[in-house]
Amino acid sequence: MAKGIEISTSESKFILEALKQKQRLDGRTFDQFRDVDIKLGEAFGDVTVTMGKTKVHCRVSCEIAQPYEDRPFEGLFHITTETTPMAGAQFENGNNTGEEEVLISRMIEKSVRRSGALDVEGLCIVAGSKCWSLRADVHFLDCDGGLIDASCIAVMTALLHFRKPDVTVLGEKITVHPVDEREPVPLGVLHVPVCVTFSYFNPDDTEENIKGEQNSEIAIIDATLKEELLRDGVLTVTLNKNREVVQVSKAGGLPMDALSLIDCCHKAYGIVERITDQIHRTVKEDIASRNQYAHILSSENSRQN
Amino acid sequence: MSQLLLPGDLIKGNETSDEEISAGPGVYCDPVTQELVATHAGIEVVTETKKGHAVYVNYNSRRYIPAVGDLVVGVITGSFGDSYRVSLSNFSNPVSLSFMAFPNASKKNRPTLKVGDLCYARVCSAYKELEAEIECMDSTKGQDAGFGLLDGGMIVETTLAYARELLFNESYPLLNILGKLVEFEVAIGVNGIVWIKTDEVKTTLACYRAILACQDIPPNQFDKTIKQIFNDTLKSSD
Repeated sequence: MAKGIEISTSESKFILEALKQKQRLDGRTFDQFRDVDIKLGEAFGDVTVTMGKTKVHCRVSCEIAQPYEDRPFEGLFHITTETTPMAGAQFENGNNTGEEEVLISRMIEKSVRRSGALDVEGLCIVAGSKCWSLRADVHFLDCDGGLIDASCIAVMTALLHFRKPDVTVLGEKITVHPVDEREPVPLGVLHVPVCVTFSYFNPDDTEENIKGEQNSEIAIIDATLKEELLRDGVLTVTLNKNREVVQVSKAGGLPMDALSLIDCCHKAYGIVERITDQIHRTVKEDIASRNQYAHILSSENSRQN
Repeated sequence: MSQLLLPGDLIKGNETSDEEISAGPGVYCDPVTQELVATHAGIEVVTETKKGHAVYVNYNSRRYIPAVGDLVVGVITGSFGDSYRVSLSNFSNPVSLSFMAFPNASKKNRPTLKVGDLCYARVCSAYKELEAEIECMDSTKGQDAGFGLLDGGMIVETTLAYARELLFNESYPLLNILGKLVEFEVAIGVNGIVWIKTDEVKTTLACYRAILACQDIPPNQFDKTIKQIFNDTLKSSD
């Protein structure tokens, strides 16, 4: 990616040299994930995730549609991830065929949609004719690396936070109850996948990497933009709290030792566990704070009547 | 007390006298009415010059626009015929650095910079409609003046106002504080790139973090912050 970002040889040498001495520019350790900040908006399903300078916004919305003919019992669920120059001038407007862009959207697709994180059968209203069509729109606001990790967290938090309006079905007739009339219902989230991206650096030459006796490759978690531009290989693992691997993707890049890959998955699990808890906690606190106000509001209203 | 100007504000020169006013960055002279208008939001600065006075707006930004006489740090991105193509900032138009703009250069004696090298240079021509040109020598004397290849080290990307402060404000405490802690070489480009080099990776890293951190804090906190950063960085991997 990033046509137009020029990195000088001094800079790349320095960053690699620092890595050899177990130092990163921002002072993190190799296995340290950036602190994740999750902000929920006023509407349900409105989430902003900030990791360092990286900022991703996700909005979930729904409408009633007709299910696909071959899947009459399932609702529709789409995720759009479109990069714009807002995130950084290296992204072209409306060009979602770039390598980086395709990789991000495929990874989110694989981690969230195809892993069945959302219960699409729960979106069905009348089999074969009416269902909810759910959209998750991911907006990349600022890019400082780790877009995949941040957007996965954003999508999952948004899905957990989102409420769809309640419906009642009477024969062919469907009534959608407005939100102020009847409490909206949460979505069925079956598990919470979280992506963790590892970036690999080769401190020696290629020959050492292929024929060498010891594995001296350096793996760091959650690279920043600079580190992403200089890395030789990348591995994204998605796990959930049930100790399951949802997907592993290592599309080419630096050849890696199989054992170190397993080691990476173990390291990722600790992070996934922490982030999953954080997501649940944030959503819970938000819902609790909403209910607290609802209680005050309704009791005041009843007194006036 | 300094005056904040917003884009569109009229700049009142000394209208009564016929002193000449030179307009600097951020000031636009309307060709029809001959009024001076601010084009950027910032602090108005009026300085006395030999002929009269000069006025400019001191504003902060990140995008560098070349101006003659600026000292800049660039990355060589290619070489074409008899000149290098140099990038002064990402996503901006490249500038050119002629093979002849080096000390003791001749047709036979070519400079040896490679693609990816950093160089310190001076902007020698910057027309709005043309590609800007930079040079690696003092063209008035035709000799080497500290310009050229910057070998090793690390670069820090800063905002333009901060880089100007570092370069021109002699009482700005940052470099003095760093100098007490470690021996270093530094090249400051007003295009918002600061190159710094010390003997060891760790001390360079500490300088890098210090320069970045001091961008966001007032100068009276520099001393404490920098010492903290040095302590943390030098201790970290022991």
